[in-house]
Amino acid sequence: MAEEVVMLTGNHSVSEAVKRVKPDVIAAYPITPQTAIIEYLSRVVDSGELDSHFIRVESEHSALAAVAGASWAGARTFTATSSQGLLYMGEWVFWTGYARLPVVMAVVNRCLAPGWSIWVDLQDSMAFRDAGWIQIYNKNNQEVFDTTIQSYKIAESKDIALPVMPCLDGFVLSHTSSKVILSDPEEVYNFVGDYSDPIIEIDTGKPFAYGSIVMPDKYNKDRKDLMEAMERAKAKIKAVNKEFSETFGRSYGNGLIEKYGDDDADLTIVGIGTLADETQQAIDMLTSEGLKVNSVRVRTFRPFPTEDIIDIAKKNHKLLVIDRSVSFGHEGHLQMEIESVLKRNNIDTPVIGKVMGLGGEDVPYTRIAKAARENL
Amino acid sequence: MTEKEPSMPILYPIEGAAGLTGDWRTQRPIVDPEKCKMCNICWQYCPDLAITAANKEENKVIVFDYTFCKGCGICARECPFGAIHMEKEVD
Amino acid sequence: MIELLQISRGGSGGVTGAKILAEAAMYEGLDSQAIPKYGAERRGAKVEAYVRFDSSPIRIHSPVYNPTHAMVLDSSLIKALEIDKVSKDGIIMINSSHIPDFLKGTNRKVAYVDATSISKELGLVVSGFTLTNVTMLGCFAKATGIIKMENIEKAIEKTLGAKIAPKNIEAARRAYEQTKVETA
Repeated sequence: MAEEVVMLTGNHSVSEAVKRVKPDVIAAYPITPQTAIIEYLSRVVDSGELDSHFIRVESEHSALAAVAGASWAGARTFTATSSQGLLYMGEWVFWTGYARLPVVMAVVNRCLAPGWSIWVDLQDSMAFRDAGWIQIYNKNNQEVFDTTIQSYKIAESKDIALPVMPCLDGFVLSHTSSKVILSDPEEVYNFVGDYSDPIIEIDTGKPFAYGSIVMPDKYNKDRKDLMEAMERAKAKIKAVNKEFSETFGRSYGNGLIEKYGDDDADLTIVGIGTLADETQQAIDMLTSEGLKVNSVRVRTFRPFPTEDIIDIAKKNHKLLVIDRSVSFGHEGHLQMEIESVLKRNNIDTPVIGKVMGLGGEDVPYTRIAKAARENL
Repeated sequence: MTEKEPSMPILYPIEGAAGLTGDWRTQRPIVDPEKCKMCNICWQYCPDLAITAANKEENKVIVFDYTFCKGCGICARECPFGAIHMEKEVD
Repeated sequence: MIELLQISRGGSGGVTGAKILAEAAMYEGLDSQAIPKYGAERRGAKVEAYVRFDSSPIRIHSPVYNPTHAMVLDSSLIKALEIDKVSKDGIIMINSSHIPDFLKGTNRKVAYVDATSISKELGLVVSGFTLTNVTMLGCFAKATGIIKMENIEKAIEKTLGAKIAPKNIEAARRAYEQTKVETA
């Protein structure tokens, strides 16, 4: 089987990637708009096309508990969820991050209730930005496929040992079909490598206890290491992006951010997810009007690309940050991080924040362009 | 100072919250007044409250509200007297 | 960029039809995108889907607001089409044996074919719904010329599989042959 070029939804792009990486254990619970990911995986496990244990569970809380347990036992794992499902998992999201388990969980971004809604915003995954997970946000279905593969290589690296959350916009990516190059299964598997030398595994000759009480000194030692692992993950994500590019010919900026347009812009539009892809269309439009604008897509939100943001703020004159999630009582999550980076580094490039597209509100590039014109 | 009303995620019942659902219909129920025994079983079954109940005292058979009737055909199926049939909607 | 608005009834296969069309465009060497407009799925209700075609990579993720062309899978839905939003040079494709009164005098280019009869003849009926989604792809190929029939057929085969593809391919072919394009 060689490379295939197909028309695929974002959900199936995740599934095709997972199928190639061959996790030992998959556990998941259905929730719109994620359900198609696990439906497909349960089908290929059932047909024998994928040799994996599929654990049927009664809730998202159990889904992540099951894969975390399997990960502790030395298994390669996968799960996926959205919105309320992610919230219901909440306890285990933190547990998995703090336990340093290399679980990969696709999050199909969907807003939170009430009012009940199934459409995209990033409030669900952003609520877990402090849970010790690497978060990578995608712009199209090809990137969804590629990031899911890369996630395993990043998570399972011993000097990282962190769970990874590849995030994709609900419906906008999950249910929209577009062209995806599905790389050769063997090449993908070889790229990720097998997981025969796991980060941790159950060894009856070397017993250990987990989940037991620890004194503050040990607790702080573990958290400090988590912080440092996140820092190391920046270089790792960049390296994996580069290696992926060398192997498959596809890359996403430097792995942490993707820039579009020339430096020294009067206005730089910073965004995340598909809105940042749509922004590139706006940049073309504004550039043709003679305006000096460029854009940056934050691909990796955790760890946050601090150095890249410093570089961008120094090379340009003003930043317009578009968020699709918000911390009520403060401001958009992306804006929050960028302002703190600039303040900490004494950079006075002005930052303007806009929160757009909550609850699946459509944000066409014309609206992004309008916001740019108003702030030039 | 007057306090601002909170915008809460609450919807109040209104007629036709889903729009004029009669547009969804590809076939419409028709009642035969000769066969209708005014039992109102159809009225009980209609999931869309799109039937005005028959009134025996005034000798009025059921009436369909085609503005909201989705054409599901449950009434035709449940009528014990075969008094309702479905007809294809014409363009 | 060419943008298509497709109007159908929930449960009639419109989403699958849009996806097959996007796949056919891929075989044609174009970048493409099929966007279903999801809400609470409602059988019988009007549903929209959008397809984009471009020679360069598509970075737009929004629904289509001002389509180049429009395709209506059920003639009873024609009144739901906002004609003014469709490009003046575009084609309105409709499953109908004639140009509907609603379109008469609009001076629009209309492509029409009785896809329902073709589908019924070939037994493309599921749970009482006559499926015209794939049949109408033949109308699209004939009316717009954007995609060759061979690529439409390849995409039907790939999506529906060897068992049910032949009947659908035959339906699309018949629609291709029978489509008439006139100014209304």
